[in-house]
Amino acid sequence: MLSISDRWKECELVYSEPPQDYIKAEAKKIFEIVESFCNVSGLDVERIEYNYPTIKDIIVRLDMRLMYFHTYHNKMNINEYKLVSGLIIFWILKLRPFWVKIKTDDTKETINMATNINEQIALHIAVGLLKEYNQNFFENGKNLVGQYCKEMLYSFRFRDLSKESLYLMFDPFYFLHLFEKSVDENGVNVI
Amino acid sequence: MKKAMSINEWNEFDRQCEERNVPFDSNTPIKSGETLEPSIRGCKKIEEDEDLKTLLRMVYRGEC
Repeated sequence: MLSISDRWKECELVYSEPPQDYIKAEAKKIFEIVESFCNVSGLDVERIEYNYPTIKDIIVRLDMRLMYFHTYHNKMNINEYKLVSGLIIFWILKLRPFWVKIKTDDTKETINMATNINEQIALHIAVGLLKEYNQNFFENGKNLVGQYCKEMLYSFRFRDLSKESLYLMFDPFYFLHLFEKSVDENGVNVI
Repeated sequence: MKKAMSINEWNEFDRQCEERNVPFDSNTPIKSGETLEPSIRGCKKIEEDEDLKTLLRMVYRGEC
C-alpha cells in the first residue's frame, strides 16, 4: 500500500524564476503607476523611495502563484481582477516596498500620503483597473465614489485581507464588466 | 444602463459559449497576457479626467 511519505516521491515540480528582463519590465509597470499616483496626488515622485529586491519579490511571488494556478487548477489563466487585486495589491500591502521620508516642514497632507504610501499606491492600481474596465462605477456620483475609495483605503491599511478576500472584493467588478459587454440594450447576449 | 443578465440569460450565454467553443469560465481574462497594463491604461485615463483626478487627489491627501 502506498504510504504518505512515498506519495510524491516521483513528482518533479520545479519552479524557476523568470528572466531578469521580464522582472525589469514588470517592475517598470509598477513604477509607471507610481508616477501616475504622483501626477494625481501632487506628491513629488522623487520623494518616493523603494526597495528593489522587494519589488522583485512581488513579481516573482506573482509568477509563482500563476504557476500554482497553471499546475493545480487545470492550466487556469486567472482574470485581471484576481491578478491585480489578489496578487499585486496583496503583496504591495504585505511587503510594503515603498516609503517616504518625512521632512520637518511637510504639510499634514504630505505626511498623510507618506504614512499611507503603500496603501495609496495599491488603491491607485485598483482604481486604474476600475477606470479601464468599469467606467460606470465612476458615474455613481462623487460622494459615493470618494466614500468607496476611502473605505478601500481604510481596508487596505487596517483590515486583515487575504489574497482570497481580495479576489472576492473585486470579483463583482469583473462580472459587472462581463454583464456590460455581453448584453445589448434589449438584454440579449451579444458575445 | 444595460440590465444585468438573468439566470436564463446566463444559461443562454453559457450555451452560446459552448456552441462557439469559447472557453469561458469565471476566470477568463478580458485580454489575455496582461498584468498591470489595464491599470496603467486606466491610470492614464484618470489623469485625463479632471473631475476624477481632483476627487482622488483629495482622497490621497486626506482632504475629504
